[in-house]
Amino acid sequence: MTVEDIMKIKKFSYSRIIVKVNDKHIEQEDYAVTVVNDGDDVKMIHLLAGG
Amino acid sequence: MRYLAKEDSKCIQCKACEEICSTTYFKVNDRNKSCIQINEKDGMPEINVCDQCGECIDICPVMAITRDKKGIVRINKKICVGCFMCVGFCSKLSMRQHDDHIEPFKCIACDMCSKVCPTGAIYISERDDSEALEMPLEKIFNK
Amino acid sequence: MDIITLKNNHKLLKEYKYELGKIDKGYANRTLYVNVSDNNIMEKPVTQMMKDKFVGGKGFGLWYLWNAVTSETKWNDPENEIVIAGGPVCGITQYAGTGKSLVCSLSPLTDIPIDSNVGGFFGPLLKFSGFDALEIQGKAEKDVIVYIDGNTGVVTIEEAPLEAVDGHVLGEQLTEMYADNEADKRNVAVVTAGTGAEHSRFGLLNFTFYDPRRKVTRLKQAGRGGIGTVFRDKKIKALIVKFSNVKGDLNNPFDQAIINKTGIKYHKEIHDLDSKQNNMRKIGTANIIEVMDAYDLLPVMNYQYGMHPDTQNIKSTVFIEKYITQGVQDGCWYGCSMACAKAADNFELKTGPYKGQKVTVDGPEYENAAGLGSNCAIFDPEGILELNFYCDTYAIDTISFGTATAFAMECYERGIINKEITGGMELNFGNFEAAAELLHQMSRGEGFGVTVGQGINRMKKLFAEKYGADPDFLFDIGMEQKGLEYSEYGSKESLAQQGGYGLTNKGPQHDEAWLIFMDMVNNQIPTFEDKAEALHYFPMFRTWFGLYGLCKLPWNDIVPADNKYTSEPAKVPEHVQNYLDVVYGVTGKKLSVSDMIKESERVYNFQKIFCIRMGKGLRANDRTPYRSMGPVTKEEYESRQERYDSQLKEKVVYDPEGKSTEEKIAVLRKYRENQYELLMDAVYKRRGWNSNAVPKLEHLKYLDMELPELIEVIKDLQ
Repeated sequence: MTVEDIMKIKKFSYSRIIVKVNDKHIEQEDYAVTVVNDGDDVKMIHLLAGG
Repeated sequence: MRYLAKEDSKCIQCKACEEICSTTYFKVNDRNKSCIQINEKDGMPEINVCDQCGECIDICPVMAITRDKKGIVRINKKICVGCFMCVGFCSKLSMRQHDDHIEPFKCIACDMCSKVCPTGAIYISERDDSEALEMPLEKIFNK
Repeated sequence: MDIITLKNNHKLLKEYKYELGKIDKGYANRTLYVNVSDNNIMEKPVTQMMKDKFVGGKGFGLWYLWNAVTSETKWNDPENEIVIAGGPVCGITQYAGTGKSLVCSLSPLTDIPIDSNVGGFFGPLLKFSGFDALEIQGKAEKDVIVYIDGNTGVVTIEEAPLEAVDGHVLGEQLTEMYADNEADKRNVAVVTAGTGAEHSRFGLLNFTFYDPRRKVTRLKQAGRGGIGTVFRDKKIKALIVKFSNVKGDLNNPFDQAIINKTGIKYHKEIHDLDSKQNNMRKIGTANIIEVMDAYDLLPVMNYQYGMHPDTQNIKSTVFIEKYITQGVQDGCWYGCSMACAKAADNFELKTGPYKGQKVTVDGPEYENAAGLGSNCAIFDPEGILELNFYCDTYAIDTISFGTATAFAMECYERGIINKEITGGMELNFGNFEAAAELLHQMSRGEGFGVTVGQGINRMKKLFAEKYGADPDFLFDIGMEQKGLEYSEYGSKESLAQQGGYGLTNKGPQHDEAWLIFMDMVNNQIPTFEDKAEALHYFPMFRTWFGLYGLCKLPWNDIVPADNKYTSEPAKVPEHVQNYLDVVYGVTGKKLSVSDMIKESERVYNFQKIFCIRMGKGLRANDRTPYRSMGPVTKEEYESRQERYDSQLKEKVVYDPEGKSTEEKIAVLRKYRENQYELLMDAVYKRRGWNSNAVPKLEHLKYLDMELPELIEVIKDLQ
């Protein structure tokens, strides 16, 4: 499963998102090629400002 | 439209242009007060000066920046409110600002610097009016 | 009617001459007091105590308001004041979002103080004219204007019988009347209400600025709380300020260089990143309509649901492509490179007294697209623009109107009210014509529109008492708290945002905290302590802007390219440092982040105690309608059945298998209401308050706010 797959399943469509796997930043161009393994710590932080 | 054209490869970085510009307009020899600035990148000279493209015209909130009859982009310092958005938005990094002054300043193709350039690296030239980047108001509001 | 005739019919009631002054490091060091009962005009000094404890802006507004009223004062008593104040950074031109004012008054909706923030040119020009704040008290006999000429040092109160009342007309009339010529128009700023504010409790104030490219008077709003209603109740038609020759250093800053550097850096950032991030320069805050829908957070049909297939019709790209003029510098004060004050030009109105006119519509902000649009199921961009326009010119808060209309529509759909009660209007969800007619009725002062204009709190009482509605059900679905309607975010699935709305001073407005994504989507604040920390930090941080004359949007609507690599990206540390640098540059005051929070906490706790003084500041007042916390109806539960069933299983340890929806709703409700009680405990503790939401005396001591009048209110509530 890649980062991109996870985002599709969770329906994370918003562009201003910070993705970290095991505390390492994953850039947008690498979402499709970064594989996530069992036990990995995955953080997907949306930066939404709001009103 | 009239503008100061440049050929970076001819520049010998003598800085005579910077000196005459800042001395003429600000009475001091200070490259930070010169509208034309000679930089260096990877050992090669880079001439940075406004090419009168006009993209700043639509940025100014008080319409202080306009094109004159010769096509030169000029700032009306009386109207200017000193917001410096034109400085931040100039994609050529050629709109100048110095903390001694509350309005920005820019090259107006006055031709003084080209007269002192020993190699002819800078010279007054003409560009086609169609290259102007500002949009006439009728076009902006007409959908 | 021509401008000369309008002016010739003015009757001068009072003229006051004053010495023009100089601003010193952001402060004019005096304020202007105007009483329209006895026409007394005077200047008051700004004291060191005011600067130390209240800073400016909302701080000054609340301080003056406290001293003007007693605990018995009602919003329509002459003692109630409207105070407009910018703040020490207000009026600089180099950084984005530096033209804001805060307006304070006792609200006709809540009976406690409301603070409402607004852009436009009035705040900066008022300061340049010589005043850090304008206090208005009293009630005039006949419609008056107050005119401040900051070029010559004259203030007048004049009867103005013939001018229009509606914002878009009056703003143009007075700009034309007081400007010397076309070039001078941008030096005139007007504050108006509108005819709608005369017949509803949620009237707003319009603050104009003249747009030299469009050659029209634009309208920004101090929207929340009904201050426009107070304005018209005082029989004030408009305030006008004129100040020519705005320059970048009028605040006489301590260190102009650091302001210039920070401003230019920010302009460059907007230039490079806006189109990659939020497109503020193209569409403003409405860029998130489709995002909220995608995450099931958009208010739909009175907050019953979070998404709708027709949101496609009102997403931001539709507005950008078809309605909102592109390529115009749309800042609401000089130097705002974020420039989110977008507008639709040459928009032809289809309804009402201005039908057929082609106007400039200021908007839609996100709140309008959601409140007037999805929350009422009006998924029509032109409908939204038309309602937006009429709300502005009639001076009706789009948020309160949207939420109140959504409530009325749900009541109509459920048969709680009917055609007889609405006077023939079919108030179904999605009926744009009916929503528009409600507005026109508010303007005319007749019909069911006047009922809706009383606000949800009073509609609930009326429907229960007069039409036999179930008061408990109305309490559940009426999205108001403390008397103020909720703004347009679905807090149902975010405990933190329920607190973000419910634990505010003035009522459920999102300026204090916006935690939905942090909580629900990112799961960054899982424990009560995490939530309490966020509900301490963010409200204190976000309300700090209102002390200085700053807009919050440039803080986090666009972020630096490397923001994601910082340790706390949600706080946007580089921009926080920008603000500290700008404050230092203007005032010479070196603040740390914890100083910022403390400055804000002082005013926040002052406001809290003010609310207690006026009768709505205790724990009981912080309870929220259940629609804001969970599913009230069967349809709501079943629309998110998987989510709710799993929560029952995991969190409540209750097996949903085989249980009826009604049973599950009840169990879930008990759980969620208890969660909110626990949240209140955690937040009050973190804020230095006791379990009844009263600030502790030792906390006032820590804040250096041991003012005798504050202690008097809370000493017996410890």
